[in-house]
Amino acid sequence: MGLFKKDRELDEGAVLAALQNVQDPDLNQDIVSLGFIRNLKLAGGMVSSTIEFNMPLFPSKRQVQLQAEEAVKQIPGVTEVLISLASSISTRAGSERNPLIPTVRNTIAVASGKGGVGKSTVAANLAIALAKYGARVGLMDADVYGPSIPMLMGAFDPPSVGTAKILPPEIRGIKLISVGYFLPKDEAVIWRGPMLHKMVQQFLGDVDWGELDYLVIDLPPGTGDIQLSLCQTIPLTGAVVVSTPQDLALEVASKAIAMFKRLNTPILGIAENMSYYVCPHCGDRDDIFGHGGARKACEKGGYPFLGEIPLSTLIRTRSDQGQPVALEDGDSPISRAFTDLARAVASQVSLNNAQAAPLISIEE
Amino acid sequence: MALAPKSIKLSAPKGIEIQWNDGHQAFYPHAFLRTRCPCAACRDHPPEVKTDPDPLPIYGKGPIKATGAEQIGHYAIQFHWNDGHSSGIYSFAYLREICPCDECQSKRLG
Repeated sequence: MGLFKKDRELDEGAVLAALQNVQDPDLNQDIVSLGFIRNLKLAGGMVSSTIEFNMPLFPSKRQVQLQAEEAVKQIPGVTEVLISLASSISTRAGSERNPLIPTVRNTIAVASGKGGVGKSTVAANLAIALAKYGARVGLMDADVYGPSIPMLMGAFDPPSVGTAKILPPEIRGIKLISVGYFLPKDEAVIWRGPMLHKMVQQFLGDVDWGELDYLVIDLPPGTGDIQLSLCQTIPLTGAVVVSTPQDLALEVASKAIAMFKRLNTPILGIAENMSYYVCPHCGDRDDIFGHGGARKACEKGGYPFLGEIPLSTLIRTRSDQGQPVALEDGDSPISRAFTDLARAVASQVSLNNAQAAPLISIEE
Repeated sequence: MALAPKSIKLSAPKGIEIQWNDGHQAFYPHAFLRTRCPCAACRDHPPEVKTDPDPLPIYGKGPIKATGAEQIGHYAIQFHWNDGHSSGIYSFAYLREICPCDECQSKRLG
């Protein structure tokens, strides 16, 4: 009788034990320990469950689904397996939401020391790649001196005014704000610190961001007022530092890293832009600015390396057209480079959120 | 993990209690913290503070006291004082550096 029963009825423990062999390739931990298994149901020989990831459903997650199905099928007595995927982006463990932006789960600053390394291009494509795989994303252009996000995203409709807040324009599902919307073309922002500080606060608190999984913030180069104001106004989830492989750029990038360290802001990692160039005529590769410098800097400083983006005419033309290259299907190698970057950033955010200290409780 | 407070209690009698994430418990008298305000103005001209109850309380605000506090990013706390001042940003590192407890004092001397 006992044997008979065991044959016919599956037990939950066996399914979980099988799923424990399935790793999340981005977080390097099994999906059971990560707490991703939801709605596990057993009925006769049928097993159904949902894997709820804490980051967007990048293509790597499909692999997890296949592996999980395979693992459960191996259990004796299982006749049918139904595994679905879901995503619920994590926020800082055990913390209350920031009162200024209570509906935003994660804030990612894209920074560099040096100008012209492609921060805005990386920020726009990062936002698109995150949104493409299901995340709710906002993009804040905090580069007051060279607001390039409206042109990059091809979004020229200015924000409108709601009852209490600024309604940001939304393009391809991404909410945008930029100082470019508030300035006549060919005008410049010539502001001192307090004005910049106020702008950062307004872009965060006075814009109707709605529920967002990630707010990507494109910073101006350097370690000045905007960066300091941002780090003071909200506890950032972390910073992505963009650099070219050139020693000169990495040298300046290390200043940005030093600033974030001083302000206890987590470094999500360094991304190497303009990493190499493949000649469209002969197919030869040229490492114009050198290659691998960011990876080496990461190894030295103990930061995650987030990936390499090649120098490409396609990235430039698509940026100028307001159709960032990350919009393309995953098959194009350049679009894939941005998907991999977004995956690396989202992984670091998830890992950071799992161990971050909660906000300080202040009792009055 | 970076050194940071876990909780801050402003209502403790005569001072502020900070529980640090490394287990250290610190107590800062109100006047002690106010006089060590790190803002530029106070560094140049350290403020004079009242610690005793006012003999004519109707004219004053009573002894110095923090009335509120805010977390500044991941690295600091800003206190609001009952004398109207609030521009000092006390970084976690600074707060720990000036911890007045015997243990920290003797560490600094030794």
